[in-house]
Amino acid sequence: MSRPGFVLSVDAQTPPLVVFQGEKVLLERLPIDASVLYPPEALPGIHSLDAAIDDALDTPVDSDPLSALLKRGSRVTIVFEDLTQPVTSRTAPDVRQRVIEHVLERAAAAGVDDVELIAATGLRRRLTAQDLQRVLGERIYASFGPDHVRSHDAESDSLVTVGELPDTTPIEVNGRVASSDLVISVRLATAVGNEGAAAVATKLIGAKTARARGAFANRGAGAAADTNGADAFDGLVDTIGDKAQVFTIDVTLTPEPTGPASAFLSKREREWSLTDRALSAGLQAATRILPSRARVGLAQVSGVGYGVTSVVAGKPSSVHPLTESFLTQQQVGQFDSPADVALFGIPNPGSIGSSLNPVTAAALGLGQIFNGSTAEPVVRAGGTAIFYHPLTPWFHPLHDPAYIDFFAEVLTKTTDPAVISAEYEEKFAADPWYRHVYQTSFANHALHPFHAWYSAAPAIDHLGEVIFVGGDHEATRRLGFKSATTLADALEMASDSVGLTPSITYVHGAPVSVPEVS
Amino acid sequence: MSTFSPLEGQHIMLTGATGFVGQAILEKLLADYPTTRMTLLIRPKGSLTGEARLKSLLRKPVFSKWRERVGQDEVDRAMAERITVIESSMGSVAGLPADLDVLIHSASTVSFDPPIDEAFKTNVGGAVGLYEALLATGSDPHVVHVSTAYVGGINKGTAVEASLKHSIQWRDEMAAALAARTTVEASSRRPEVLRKLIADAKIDNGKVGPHAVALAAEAGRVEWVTKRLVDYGRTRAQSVGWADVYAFTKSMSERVAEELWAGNGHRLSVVRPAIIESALRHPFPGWIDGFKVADPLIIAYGRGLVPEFPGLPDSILDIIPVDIVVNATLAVAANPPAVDDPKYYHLSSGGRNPLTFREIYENVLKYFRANPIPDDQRGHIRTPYWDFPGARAIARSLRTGERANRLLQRTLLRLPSTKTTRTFMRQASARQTDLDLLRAYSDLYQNYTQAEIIYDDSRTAALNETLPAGAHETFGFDATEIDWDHYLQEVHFPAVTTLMRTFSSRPRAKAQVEKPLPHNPEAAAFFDLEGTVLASNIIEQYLWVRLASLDRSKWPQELANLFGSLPRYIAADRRDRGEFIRTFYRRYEGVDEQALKGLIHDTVGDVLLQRIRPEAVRQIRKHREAGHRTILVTGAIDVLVEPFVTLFDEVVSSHMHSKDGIWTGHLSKPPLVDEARAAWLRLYGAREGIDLAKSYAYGDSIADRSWLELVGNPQAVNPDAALFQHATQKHWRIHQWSDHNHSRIDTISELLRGDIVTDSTPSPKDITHE
Amino acid sequence: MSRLAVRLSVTAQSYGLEHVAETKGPYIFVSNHPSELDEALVRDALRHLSPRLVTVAVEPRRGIRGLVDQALSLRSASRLAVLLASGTSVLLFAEKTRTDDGSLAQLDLGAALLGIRTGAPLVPVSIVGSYRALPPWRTTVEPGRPRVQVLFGRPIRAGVGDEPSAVTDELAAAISTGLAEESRGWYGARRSQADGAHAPETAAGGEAGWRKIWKATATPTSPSRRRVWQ
Repeated sequence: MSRPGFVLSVDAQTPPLVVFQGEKVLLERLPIDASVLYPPEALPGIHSLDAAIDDALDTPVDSDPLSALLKRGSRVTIVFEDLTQPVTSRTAPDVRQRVIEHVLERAAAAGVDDVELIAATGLRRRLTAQDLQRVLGERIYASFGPDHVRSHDAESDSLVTVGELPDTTPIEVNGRVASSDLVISVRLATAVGNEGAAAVATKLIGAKTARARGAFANRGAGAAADTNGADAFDGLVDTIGDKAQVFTIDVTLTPEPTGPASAFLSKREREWSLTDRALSAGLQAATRILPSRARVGLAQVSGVGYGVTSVVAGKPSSVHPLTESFLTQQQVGQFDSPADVALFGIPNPGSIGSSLNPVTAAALGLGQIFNGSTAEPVVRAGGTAIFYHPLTPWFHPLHDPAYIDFFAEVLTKTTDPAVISAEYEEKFAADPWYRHVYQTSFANHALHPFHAWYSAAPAIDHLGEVIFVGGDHEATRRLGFKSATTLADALEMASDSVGLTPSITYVHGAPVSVPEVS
Repeated sequence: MSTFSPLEGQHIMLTGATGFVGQAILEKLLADYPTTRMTLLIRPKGSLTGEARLKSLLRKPVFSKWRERVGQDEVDRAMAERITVIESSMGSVAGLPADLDVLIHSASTVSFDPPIDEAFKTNVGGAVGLYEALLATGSDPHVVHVSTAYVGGINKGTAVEASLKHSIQWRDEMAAALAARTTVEASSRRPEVLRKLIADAKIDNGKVGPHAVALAAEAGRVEWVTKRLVDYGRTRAQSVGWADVYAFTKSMSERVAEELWAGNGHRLSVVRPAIIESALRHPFPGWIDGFKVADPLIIAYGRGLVPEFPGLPDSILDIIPVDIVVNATLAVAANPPAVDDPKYYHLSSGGRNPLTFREIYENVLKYFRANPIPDDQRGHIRTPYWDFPGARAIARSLRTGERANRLLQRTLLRLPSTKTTRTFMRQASARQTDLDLLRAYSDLYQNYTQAEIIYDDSRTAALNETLPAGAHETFGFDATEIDWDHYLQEVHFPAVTTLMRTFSSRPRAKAQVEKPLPHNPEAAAFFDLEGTVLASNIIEQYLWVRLASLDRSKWPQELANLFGSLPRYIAADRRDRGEFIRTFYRRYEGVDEQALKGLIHDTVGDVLLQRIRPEAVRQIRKHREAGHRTILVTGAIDVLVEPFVTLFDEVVSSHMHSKDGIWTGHLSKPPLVDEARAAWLRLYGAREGIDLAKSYAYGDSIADRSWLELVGNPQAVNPDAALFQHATQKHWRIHQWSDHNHSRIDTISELLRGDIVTDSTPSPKDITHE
Repeated sequence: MSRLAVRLSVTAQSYGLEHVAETKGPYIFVSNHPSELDEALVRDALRHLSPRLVTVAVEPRRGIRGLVDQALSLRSASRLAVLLASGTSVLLFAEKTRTDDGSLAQLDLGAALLGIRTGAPLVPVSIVGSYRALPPWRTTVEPGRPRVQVLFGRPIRAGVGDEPSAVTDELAAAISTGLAEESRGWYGARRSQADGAHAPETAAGGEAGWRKIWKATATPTSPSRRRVWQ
């Protein structure tokens, strides 16, 4: 057990604290008497991953060892998660590559020839060849070539019906997965987060099913909808369809600094050494001088990677609760009471040249209210949430065509999710161009922006006001929020609803990735 | 007023009744000479008969006071009983009534600088025709010939009310003027002239296509002919001592009247008004019909356009209100002279109540300081102070200004189109208009304001004295009773600026509200690709393909090669887009079509997709929803257009000729650009039953103009400067679609990773049977 | 050859370093020895992990280097054990004789014995492509920066009671699998190994020598860009 998270109370001696604002890293002085929630210190990663994986695969939970499950001539599909954030430090191979190497060694020894690897992308874009190579490693990618390594295609014709949702929409899953003998699912969970639904099949469903499952009408305040959807997918946790048996390998991760330059970002400011202070000053200066593009690259260099904290394999319905309880240990401890105002910093994701588009950034930020690092929301109902992100109206031209139109056409007319769901979802879902670029190019599915927006809806309802510091004025307005230039201005704006001396909590560190938007 | 009733029961014929003075005379006759009968000579215009023109004439504001006074019924009665209309043009006057008592001839040209033949035809030929027709009737009316004070020519000193003393033969001049047109028309067809016109037309219209160039060249020739004839007129007039061809021809027409009418034993009076401006009292103070001589200058000054003016401060500007002119003319008409002793009357103010230039300037200044004209953007225009530096200084600064502006415009036309250049373009055009105006005034007013001539009007004054006391109110015409300050400040300037404010105040264009497109299965939307739907061009597309298929080590060589050839391509593009495409596509010689298709499918297709303009996709979707057929027409090669095929119902692109699957570098048919595209569009519309008048077309460069014009709803997308000019003139919809925001550096870095064909490592399945 | 020279003359790729990094050193690297580049290649690949490395080949080196080896008495097992105890890793070219066609010869038992004696992890190393880059009849590396791969396998821990021949067989199998990756791919090599398709070549002794050399020096189908312009 590492140092647990703790709450710092800001006083006059507190140094300025690190706040992420898109590609910038700011040092902000918080008002006196604000509370700062520090996440628990990073758990030490497992040193010998090989041994841990071997162990997990040879003595799985509630299941025969993997080597026993693999038989000559069986049809095996390996399904791996797609998180767009880099999953290990830049130099070491990806965790998924390590796990899959072990799996494939056993498969080779058992004489399995029919192997396919599928990325469980859900409604996210296909992975490019470069993405797949980075995840799987050159050698595995070269072995299985472009033909046997794929991303899930939610609009494919070869989807297979394996069940039904409560509203009688059929549950269609990936054809290859449903027709396999053994499905080995490699799942990742970042510490201080959750793993998502127990069934990996939720990320392998077809577009129609995804639409019904993610429909705004079906979402309640989180809990009710989960049980609703979860009921339907309960039967798909251990077996998918008639014959596919699922064997899961759950890996939990912990953030680790990747380079010396970024180590200080995750340390508590009070404990910064002289070098750390110098590095921070350097970073501040660089942020001010460099143009925006270079800033993005800078953030990447000083970014954060992940180390592995546990590997558990076996029957999904048994492994999942173990993983979940392991993760809850990582959450921040209790704090006294929800504050009036909560502050969050939102950094950009790792890849060079990409920044979050406004809709994703907002959804990510708002997702922290209910699905963040704390068990309960840090801000009270009707309170104010202040986020730091520039919300530049930049969209990736290849990945985000649906987002561009969502931002330009839908959000200009209304931001109410119920209206959006009723009037625009159908049009986007049925549009042939979006389907074409989703299937042949690397665009996110047309429903992606809708689900992202719906995921933010509970938080928007819960909060009284949402303010973005440093946000592009027009874009922020269009999303239905307010923008301020500095923290002081934002607090001034918030004073209408929370009063002149609100209780403030700042959640330190990078946000947890929310499944719908990562 | 008792029994003073001049022109009692007389039959008066009036020419030029639709003109400024003519209207006023007609109105006065109708209002205050109730026993008179009028015959009007009105030329039919277009589909309007003379009667129709009279009807619309009577609705003009000059008659409003009279109509208010007597009522519409009386107006109709007057029109039916007191007025007869003869439809004829000046050249061929037929059927004049034989019982005329008075003929007032006030028809003349309206502009100052018409082409010489037109001036002579109207002013001189018209008089000739009229008098000859009158002679043919055998009757003996008193003719009042309305001339102009400026027939006195460029002189110094006092001009007297007498026949002009010069020896210019009007018949010779007339013959020469008419012959001038033939000469100039022939001259305009000389190769030297035509060559220059074609070159000019090509510069502006070359990219649109050969047909457009031809049309522009011919239009240029007609313009050249007109300019030349205007030059003939002005120069001839100046060479014989008149300020402009108007004054020259008016003096010639006086000679005609003297020779044909007075010379044949009839009674002739000539009235010579100076600059006629708005009415002092009748029908209402400030009545004016359109801008007169001095008015454009006043307005230009009020708008702050005239920083200085070439004029001598103490030179006299001879202004006379129109109601004084009318009263005087009718008084002259009522007092015919002896048979062979024609009388001349000056209707001017300079003799006994002069208005100096400095006085006008001070009044104008005072007026516009108190009532400034609101500026287009904000605030008001500040009128400048004049120093009167002299004509030469003014001319110099005008010349420099014109040259600078022309240079600016030429430069802007060559630059690529961005928001900034478009704004500059607009400003430059506005400035050009202003400078042209200034130049025109400068040239025109030079003579009027530098003249040091005074028109003696003693005979007119004497005539005024003969009016009975009490009749002065209605029939008086005394120039000395004009209080210039009052007249200018309270009567004339407000009238003129009201006129101007109505002309220039247009409601600001409201922001366009997006309406859904009307549903119409027979309409189509035609899209151009480069620059419109895709933010890229064929050179870039070639570059992506080439770099993706070459090893990184060969890139510098390829880039150097391409940049070296760029000037050649740019030159070809400027000449003719089809030629440019043909030249450029030679670089595709040796391409394996299947390999290229594979490359596009795997790598380069995504690069191209990144450059799609999202607004274009939205627009296409809108058309689809409205049931329109969406068609992409482009000069790009079909293989490169492959990623966009699903967006459109139909795609028409170039096709490369291939032999055994390898491209030869030649196109298999001429590329569809500019006018070829227009021709294709027409054919397509006819063949497929598309209603082009309801269809839409989207293009971005001036080269697209020819086919954009074919549809009913042409739209310009991020237009270049030339197309922007054209589109604003024709009121086309102009779209601003965002330029792509994925930088070229990122694209190149993606290409660096490149299209690696994975090795033929056998799959696990194959190995077991090895 | 020095490490810098190696890096300039070939394009070296190394895989499997993570397996080595997770085990505690010092290590005994057991490698095949197709060309003179090998020592420098392995040193270069291990520059971060194991800075202190000593190289020994079963087949004695000729000339001056051989004298040096004798002087340092590197070739005695006890000397090596002492070195290992002090933290220096050992790179063993364990083939009994060096073939002149680049294929794998039979391994000497010495590596296994050393591993059992000292308990240090035995890391099988396969070097692929260096035969082609610097075959015996050349003095300089082939131009064009040929691709060379250094593949590290899973470390084998030999316990006191293990049979040396069994451990040696394990090592040989691991090295051969690595070598087979070039032709069959990663998964294919392991499948073949599982199906028992490749035993050490010398045992079969089937193919003629020239054919083996021919195969070994075949130009690999390196991934290249698709040729669009012919």
